[in-house]
Amino acid sequence: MASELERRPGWGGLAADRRGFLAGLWGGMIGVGGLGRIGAEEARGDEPAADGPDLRMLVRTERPLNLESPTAALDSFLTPNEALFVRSHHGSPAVGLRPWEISVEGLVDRPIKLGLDELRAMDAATVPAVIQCAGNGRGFFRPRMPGMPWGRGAVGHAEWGGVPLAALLEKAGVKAEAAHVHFIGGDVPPTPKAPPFIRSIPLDRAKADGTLIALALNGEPLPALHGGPARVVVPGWAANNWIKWVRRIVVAAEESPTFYMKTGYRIPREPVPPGATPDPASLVPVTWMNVKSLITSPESGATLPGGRREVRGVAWTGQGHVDKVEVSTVEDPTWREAELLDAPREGSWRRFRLEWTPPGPGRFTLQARATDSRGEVQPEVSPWNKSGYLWNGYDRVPCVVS
Amino acid sequence: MKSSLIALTLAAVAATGLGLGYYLQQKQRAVAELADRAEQARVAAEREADARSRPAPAPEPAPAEGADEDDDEEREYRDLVAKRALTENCLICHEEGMFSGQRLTAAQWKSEIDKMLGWGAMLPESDRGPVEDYLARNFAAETPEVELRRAALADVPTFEVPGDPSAGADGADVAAGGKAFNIVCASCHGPAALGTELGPALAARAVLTHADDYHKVVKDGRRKMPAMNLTLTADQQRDILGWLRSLDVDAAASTAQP
Repeated sequence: MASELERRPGWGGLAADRRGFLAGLWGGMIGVGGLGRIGAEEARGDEPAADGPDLRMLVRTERPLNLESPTAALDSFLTPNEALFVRSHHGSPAVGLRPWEISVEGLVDRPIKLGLDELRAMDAATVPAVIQCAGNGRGFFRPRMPGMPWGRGAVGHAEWGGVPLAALLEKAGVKAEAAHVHFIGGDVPPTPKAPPFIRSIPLDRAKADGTLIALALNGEPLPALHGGPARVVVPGWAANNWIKWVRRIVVAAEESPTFYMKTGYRIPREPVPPGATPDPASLVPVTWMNVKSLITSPESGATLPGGRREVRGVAWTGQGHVDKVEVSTVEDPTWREAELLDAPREGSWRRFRLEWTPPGPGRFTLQARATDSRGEVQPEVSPWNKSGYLWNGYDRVPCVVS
Repeated sequence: MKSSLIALTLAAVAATGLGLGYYLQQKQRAVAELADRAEQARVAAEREADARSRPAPAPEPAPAEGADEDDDEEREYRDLVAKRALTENCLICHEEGMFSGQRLTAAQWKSEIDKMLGWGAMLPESDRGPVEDYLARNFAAETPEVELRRAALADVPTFEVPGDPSAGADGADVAAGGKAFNIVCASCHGPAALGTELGPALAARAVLTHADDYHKVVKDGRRKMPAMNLTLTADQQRDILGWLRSLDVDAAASTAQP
């Protein structure tokens, strides 16, 4: 991971500084493997660094813990573990009370139960993939809807290491009538009447290349806040499918009948008028992400000196990969194509950069839009849906040039 | 006999203390209210003077201060009821950021409340109106957004990050802990510690890995939960922690199914 962070072409000096700052700010804060808040005394970050952006998390709620990443913390190919957004419905379980085991059961020939050591002994895979909350950007929809009003930072890009789910399914032997794989995590709802966070994915996606039971995040044991010791990774799909704290993998003929599968995380197959409540039968689960870009520098609301500067950001999509990012300002909406860095790869993000010379002092709003390999273009405003999923309107950053 | 006398005396002292506290609080509030009104009047006067000094005064909406004073008091009372109801019922499972961060219409708030009641939240029928009004008025679609607090993770006061799973229950008698839990805790937290409308689930929750926090809550109480220090000995509190940590959620869930 360190090598990846250092290898950022063109931004080397900045990268090294940011890494140093991050290490100081967050150093040793989350216990490795999720066991404890070690070294908290080193991690006091009450004040932002005098020079450089404020990288502290945005606190949406404390219980359950929902933290949004500031966009300045997303200004790299891999998002540092400590800067990755945190989201769950029921909070982390008491990881560590007993040895963690994962079972594969249901429509299989040989139900199995594996401990972490057995999982680590299997052939490992490493996948760089964007993790994005289905509700990232919900706060931009109008009319508004209930749900965590995430802004721009319920997203990140990390290197996930673990066991291909296909290998686990093969070990157990999937029966012919199987069509879906359900995941049951260790998190417990606060009352038995509140629905558990259980979801399923179709068998073909479960067996696809890149779908993992992840045990590592950027080369570190997966922290509990991010689903450690084990979580599902489905590159290209929104994070509602990336079940945390996986304990049971249940192979079945049908989709999971649970609330968060049948009612939550559903979106209209065809766009609906804003404010509309469509027939539930016309809704489909949120799976593939849509094409989207994020300006990571300058920061929203920044005051900039006049003259030429670099506009930087990241862009990603679901199926395929991003192959164009354009940048303009609301004041002068002439799109200019940015330079794309990083290899095109499904599920991964690519950084972009562009030289921008403001025409003079004043207020400007930079805007970016991405296009993917399937020809999908980021729209100015996303189609409205009643739960506020998959916002991908133009990313806009107001700034003042002095 | 002796111990019950002591308990009675303590209860009497506590009640007197609470009563006195309440009286002082009321008095303080009345003073604050007077100061508040004076300030409002001053601001209104300034605004008026300012408006007069401008050549073309912008049209202003009807001043809210014109409302009847009784209405203000009624609203203030209903807000108190709402805040108490939210604290006592909703904050069992989540903190107030869950509603204060949202901006919804009155109809949306109503349906959110219905959803939460369906999920086991409790809200006395008489408190529902005040709670709906309070949420719709303070967290309306047009209410300006508040800047989010920034924090390093280590500074977020939370039980949500699992801590040390072994500290704090050395020598626990797990069976005795189960018995004590059943007598003292199960009425609110449920026989399998999976929660009821009165108290949240404890089985497999991260708080079990923060022994200091667990012991503090049990000892001192928290919101609606009474302090258990007079009911449970330190050993019993530790035994219960040991029992809670031993719970298997799958087994617990299967016995707790209705």
